[in-house]
Amino acid sequence: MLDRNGLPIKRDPGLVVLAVALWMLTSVVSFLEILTVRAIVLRIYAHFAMTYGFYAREYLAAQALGIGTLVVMAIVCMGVAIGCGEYHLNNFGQPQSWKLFAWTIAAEVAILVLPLFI
Amino acid sequence: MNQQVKKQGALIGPFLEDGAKVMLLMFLSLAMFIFALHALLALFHRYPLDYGEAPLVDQAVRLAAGQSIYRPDLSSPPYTISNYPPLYPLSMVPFVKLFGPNFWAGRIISLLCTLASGVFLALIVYAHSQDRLAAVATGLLLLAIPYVVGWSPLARVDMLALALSTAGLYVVARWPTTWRGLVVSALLLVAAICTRQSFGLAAPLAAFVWLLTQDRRQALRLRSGQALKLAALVGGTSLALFLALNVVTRGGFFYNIVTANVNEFDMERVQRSWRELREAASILLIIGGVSLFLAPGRVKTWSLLIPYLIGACLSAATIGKIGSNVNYLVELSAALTLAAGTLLAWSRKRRWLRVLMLILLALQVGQLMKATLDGPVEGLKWRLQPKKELKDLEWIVETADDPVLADEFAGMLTLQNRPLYIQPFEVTQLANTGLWDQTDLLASICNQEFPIILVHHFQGYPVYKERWTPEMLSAITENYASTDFLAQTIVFRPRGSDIEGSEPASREACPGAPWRLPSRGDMGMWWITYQLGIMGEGYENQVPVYAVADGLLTRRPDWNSAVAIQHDDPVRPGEKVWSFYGDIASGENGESFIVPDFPPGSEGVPVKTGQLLGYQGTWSGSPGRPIWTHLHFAVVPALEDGSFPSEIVGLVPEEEFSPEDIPLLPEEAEPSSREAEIEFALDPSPYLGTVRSQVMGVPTWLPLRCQESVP
Repeated sequence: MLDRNGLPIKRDPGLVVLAVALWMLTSVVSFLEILTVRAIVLRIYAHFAMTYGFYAREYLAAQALGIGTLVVMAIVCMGVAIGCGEYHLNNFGQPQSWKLFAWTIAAEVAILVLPLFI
Repeated sequence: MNQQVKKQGALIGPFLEDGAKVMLLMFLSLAMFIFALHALLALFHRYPLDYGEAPLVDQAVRLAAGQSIYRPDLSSPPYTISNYPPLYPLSMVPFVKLFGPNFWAGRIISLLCTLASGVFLALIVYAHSQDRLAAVATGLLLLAIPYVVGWSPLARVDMLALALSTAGLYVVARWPTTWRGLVVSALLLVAAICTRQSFGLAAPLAAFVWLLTQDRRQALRLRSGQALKLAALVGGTSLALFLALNVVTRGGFFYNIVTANVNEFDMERVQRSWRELREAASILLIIGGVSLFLAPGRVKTWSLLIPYLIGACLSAATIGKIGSNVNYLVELSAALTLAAGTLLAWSRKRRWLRVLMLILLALQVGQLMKATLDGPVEGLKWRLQPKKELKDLEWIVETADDPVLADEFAGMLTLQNRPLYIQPFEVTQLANTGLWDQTDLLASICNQEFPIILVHHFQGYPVYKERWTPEMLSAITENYASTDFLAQTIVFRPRGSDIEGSEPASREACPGAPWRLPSRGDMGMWWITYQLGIMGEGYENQVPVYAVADGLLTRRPDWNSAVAIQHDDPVRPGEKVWSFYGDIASGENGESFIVPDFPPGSEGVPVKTGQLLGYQGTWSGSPGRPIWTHLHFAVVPALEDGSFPSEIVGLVPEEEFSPEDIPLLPEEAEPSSREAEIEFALDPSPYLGTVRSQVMGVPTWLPLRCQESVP
């Protein structure tokens, strides 16, 4: 990467390692959390479902909802991994990059904690 | 070293705060989703969701017709009480006039008022802190509280009162020194009192103390002048309205609002509510408690917040009154939310404290969500689930002449534009305190003047004992017979009347089938060697079992949980056939659920189609091994002499019954096997008109379906 004057930007190797590690961590965790999000969605659905049982209409709806959640979350996670990667690359060392890390980590922690309450 | 830590803290702090914000907002978003889903499901449910909805719609109907809703005495019917001032029923009048009696209009008003309350609380926080996050969190936090979630889509007075009182508080908090602000605030607070009288404490007290402490540059005399003006306006206007209404209604207003509203107080209820509140909102309670000590001198709006909290706590304590519900906690919920928002705004300049507050509030929202899903959402499902039963109940009410006595589902009458004859809970409380003479009503019950009486049974709590006096209940059971059990409601009809004729028998049978269904199979059926397990929904001893056709009932001396009825065979003319009903007993201790009319040893007792035999049990064959509530049903060919076969595998004696004993036969069995099988049980499909529940020859669970419904 070059700065405004066309000279290579000097990057603190420690921060580079930290940023790469955080990006990898958030990306991997986001993929792992696909199933957690599906569990949250299905648990809420189950709370509102009127009837239960293998032959209940809600059972089929829940299956569709689960698959739909997987598809949507897969797209979201790819977006997060690629989009955040690009953003961090372009804004390396800037406060907004660390802010995005903070948001991503907080969202992922929230997703991990939410099933405790649902 | 210390400086380095501080420097690192200053570096990390903003990011931690951002993260905590995201976390709180995510929790709040999910809570809002649950709130919205709950509200949508509740809003357009046709039938009453709460006992208190029907009287309010009934009052709106009467107001629309120009009638008084505050009768000065209850010596003659209708025995109805209007517990609240008239503003909420008045707000429903245009909708009732335009669309007829309904519950949705009142529910929409309540829902919009809930949202407005959240907005006003948020504005109070924002007005003095300019902290958007704290304001948003305050507003949304209110909507996450289970009491608010549960009550917001009900056609009840509370949310309108809350919206008016929080609006009044916002106006006085925003424009404390202007005359216009004072008048508008006072009018809003009066409107809240005219919606629900208990809102005459917390918000007016908070507004008064707030004005008293405003603008310290002014002399105490001037400040107290503003506060006294507000007190005079609120108190004077309320009193004038009270007196005017009391004169117009010839004392009826006082009788309805005060006399008929002072129910017995039970400390146990207060303790139970406190326990539930502690479980659901422990962090909010801690924040509320902390704010009482921390806010004075530190928080700008302390003089508004603290009296509001104290007043709301005092109002909430009246939840100990018999018949009270979580609506008594709605104002306290608003006060706690305001405290949380205020402290969150105050912590803005104390980064680490703010991070802690944000995380704690996120966890609190999680706790509230859990309480909401386990409480109001489950409760709502329980109300919405028996759709078909509710329709049947409505049909029963529709086809019954007036007057009808009803409690929980009195709204079925209201929906048909029929006035309520009685509000059983209210008059029972009056009778218990000696303020109302129930003699005339008892005489009417004994004279069987009511074609039907509906008595609701809540699972696990005998609420009917609060709604009907012991004298009323014994008069009902002596002179009326229970004929249906729908949506947890027992339908009583006068003894000796043509009960069968008025029963919606067609709804209990498959079209064209010679026999009616023996019981409800909401959860499906289990088909095994031509015997049916019919699974009703509910606890044991709740789902009725009926005779499928006219016949002669037998209950052998050793039959604890079974009866059998001999019929003329409608499928094989000229022959006799038996319908067998088993497992009508508790799976725990074997207690029989067969009605007392058929004691062990009964033989040849005539029974009619649809006659109640007992209730589904959980008996599995041996005590201490209960299974799902069900009825074991079979069609058994009679012996040559017409008697019931004694060697029936799986039927008698019950003590020896074990599911393993029953041979599993494939659908396409060998003719010889089938013949052997028919010796003890016939295929019930032609008799009941049901679809056989076998998949690829293997007996399995399937929904109970009629043959006509098969594509």
